[in-house]
Amino acid sequence: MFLMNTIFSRLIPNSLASLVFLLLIFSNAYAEETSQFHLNASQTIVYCDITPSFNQKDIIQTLQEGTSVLFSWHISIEHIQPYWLNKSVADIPFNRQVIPDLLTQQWTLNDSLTDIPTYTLSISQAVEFLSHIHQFPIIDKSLLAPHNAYLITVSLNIKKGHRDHGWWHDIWHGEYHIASSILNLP
Amino acid sequence: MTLWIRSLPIVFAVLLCILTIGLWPTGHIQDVPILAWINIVLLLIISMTLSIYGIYLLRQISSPPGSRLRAKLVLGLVGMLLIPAGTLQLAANQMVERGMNTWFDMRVDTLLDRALKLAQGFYSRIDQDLQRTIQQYSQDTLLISDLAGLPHGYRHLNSRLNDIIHHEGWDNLQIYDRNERLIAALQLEGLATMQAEPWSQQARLSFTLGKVRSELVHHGEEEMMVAYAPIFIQNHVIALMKASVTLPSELIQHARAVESDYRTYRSLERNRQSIRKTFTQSMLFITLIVVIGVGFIAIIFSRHLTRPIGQLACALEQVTEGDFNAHIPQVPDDDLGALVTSFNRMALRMKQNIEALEHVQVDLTQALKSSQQRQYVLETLLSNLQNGVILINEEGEIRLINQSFRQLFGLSKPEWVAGKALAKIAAHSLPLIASFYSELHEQQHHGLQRELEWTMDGKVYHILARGERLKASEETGFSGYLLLFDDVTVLSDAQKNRAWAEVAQRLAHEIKNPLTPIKLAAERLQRRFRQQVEPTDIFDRCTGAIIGQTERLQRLVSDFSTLSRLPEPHCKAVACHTLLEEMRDLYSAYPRVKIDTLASNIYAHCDADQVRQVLINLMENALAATSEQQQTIHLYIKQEGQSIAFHLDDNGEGISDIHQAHLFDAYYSTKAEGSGLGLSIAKRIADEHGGDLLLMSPANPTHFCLHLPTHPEQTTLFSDTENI
Repeated sequence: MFLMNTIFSRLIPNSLASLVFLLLIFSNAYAEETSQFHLNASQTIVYCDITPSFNQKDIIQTLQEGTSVLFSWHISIEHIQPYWLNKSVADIPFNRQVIPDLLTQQWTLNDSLTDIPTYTLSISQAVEFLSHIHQFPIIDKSLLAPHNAYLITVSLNIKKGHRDHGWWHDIWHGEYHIASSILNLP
Repeated sequence: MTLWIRSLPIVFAVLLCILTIGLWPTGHIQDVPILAWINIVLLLIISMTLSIYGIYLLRQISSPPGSRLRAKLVLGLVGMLLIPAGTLQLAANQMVERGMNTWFDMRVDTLLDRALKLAQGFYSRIDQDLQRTIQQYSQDTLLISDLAGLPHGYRHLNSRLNDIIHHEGWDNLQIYDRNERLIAALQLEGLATMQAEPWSQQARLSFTLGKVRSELVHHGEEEMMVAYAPIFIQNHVIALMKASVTLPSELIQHARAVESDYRTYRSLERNRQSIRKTFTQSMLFITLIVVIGVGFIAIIFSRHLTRPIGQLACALEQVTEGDFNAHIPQVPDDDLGALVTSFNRMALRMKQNIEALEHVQVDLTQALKSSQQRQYVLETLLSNLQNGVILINEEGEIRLINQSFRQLFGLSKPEWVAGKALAKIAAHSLPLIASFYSELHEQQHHGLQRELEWTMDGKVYHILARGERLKASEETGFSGYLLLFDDVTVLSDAQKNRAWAEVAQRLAHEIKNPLTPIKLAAERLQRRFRQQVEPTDIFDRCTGAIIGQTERLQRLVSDFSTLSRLPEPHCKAVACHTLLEEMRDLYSAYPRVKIDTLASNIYAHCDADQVRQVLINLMENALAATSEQQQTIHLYIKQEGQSIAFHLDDNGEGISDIHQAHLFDAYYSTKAEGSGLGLSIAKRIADEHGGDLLLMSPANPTHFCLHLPTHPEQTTLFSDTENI
């Protein structure tokens, strides 16, 4: 009886508190990643340039070894509300994948936005295709209210190969936040 | 529970914390498998549980019964699990490490590289051959002239294409104009299945750049190498030649298999460390889950096992403290159950036995009390008994001896106590007792009675010794001898005196009667025949002798008569100095007699006439024993406690040792003309006054002492004691 009381009254709360403490430590450490994220806007469209920080050598080696690499991007736009949770305005998910062919040494580039495969014989072009987002249109200005601030957050999830992970893999190895910026409309 | 067992969970918790720190995942959080964190959480849970349990054990002042066995069982079971689990994990890790070293061997790596390069060479060779050949044909002047002569030269063009396709073994050969319209085509399977396809990215690139390009096109499971070559006329691209060749399916399968294996191998190699970590973490996870499960099972099992033991220990403690109502209600159906049942039966029987013992104790206490009372009565009786008593066991050792025996024989040595051998200690101090006991021991009769004569301090005592042989019976269980000793000196003396008195009375009666006529006859003879008898002096001497001897016989008879009919003393307070003054007047004619009459306030409770006679008897003896030549007789008195002592001493010839023993016997005299009754009468008078007449010193000086009481009750008490 004492053991059960101890487990339910002390052990489980202590363990959960310790776990939350550890996760907080690691989440804070992970937020130290540095990436480049720039916003620019034309008359009607808001664009962004993204250069994430990742281990390029590891990606190149993975591709050279014949393993496909998928960059799963997620751009979210939220209306900043000072006294409540931010209101989601738009979510833009898209994927870029490179499938290597070791026999012909050509790299098939798949973009989920166009769904038209392209080919290249240069691995550096394949890596650039995966990681560089340049002048990417994210939202029409007409959807945004003037004189408001919007938080634009970019998250990225890098997947290697086609390993069949469990359902928890996406939870545990989910996308991670790489950069964010606030857009103040005049 | 000892301290080291109590602190064992804390020690385990510390070890687990150290293990947790050692297993803490390093690197990016995304690269750490979730299993590692689960293991960390499990380790922390186990270490916290152990810490809390250890603190609980350390804070416990007294461990409840069975807790030590429970803790040992849990620790033992977990330990028995941990040791093989740890060993198994180490062995498995070693096996995985060795297996991985074998799987990712350098030779396998090299072999896969070479296989891939071989497959790549196959594709590259086909691609290069196709590109080189299509480039040659794109520059063929005949073909270019045929294209230039279109639409009139289709026959020649088709013929030319037919030659090329059959010569090169291509599957398909097509020519598109700059508007991507198919203007000529030929394939081995016939034109029926031919379809015009839109240009691919490589086709456009080739047309745009004016260079030969190729690509691999998949058609189901087939792969075709397709090459594009621009056709120039006067440096202007006018058409695009497309040639395709189907790759051998068997080779493709092998090449793709090599590629797939290479990819899988590289993927595994890249994840080599993570695989090893995953395996280790999986094994650790399983071990921890099993440890937790076994720990809980061990706790439940040990609780189930030790509950009866704890109850048994509590019940035993109750029994130890004297509570025999201890009972264990729940009885499991196993060996412990049998033990508990036996304990309940034992406790019940002990309770019944204790109750019976308590009854017996009450009875024994009562018996002991009565026995002590009897012993007290017996001891009091023995101590107050005037008879000397000795109880001797079969081995001849004294079991009991009373104070009267010691007083009777004047024993003051500590050796006369219970436990000593009677024959041994009596041999040198009381030989008459030793001989009596020896005679009793050796004779066949049950009892023995003897009168012993015992001399102590110059006085002869008559002891009546009676011995009885005791035989062991069922009630007593004791065998030995009982010796009784009675001081019959007074009784003996009384009997002797009574006998002598009887004799004296008879003799006095028989002798006294003829003495007076004899004396009267002798005097008559003297008066009547004195003048007639010659010679007269002889006659006078003879008749004088008759008269003198007759008078002596009369005095003797008178003494006999006095002894036999001594009157009862009429005691009253008598001034002692009066008696002394009378004695001084009576013996004033003797210069050697010196009497002290100084004590005028001393009174004795006595018969003055009888005491005076005693003093006269003593004085007559002293005068007879002394002469006028430098010898003195001294009479004086002293008050000694509750008695008056008349002392009379002289420095005469004294009394020999032989005569001392019979000094106070009647008719015992050392003088030729003495009757031997003086001291005997004096002794008797002293006794009848409740006093005593003692010979203090036989010679130099010869000292007699007459003790007389000062108060009447002392006389009565002494007389009563003598009567008893």
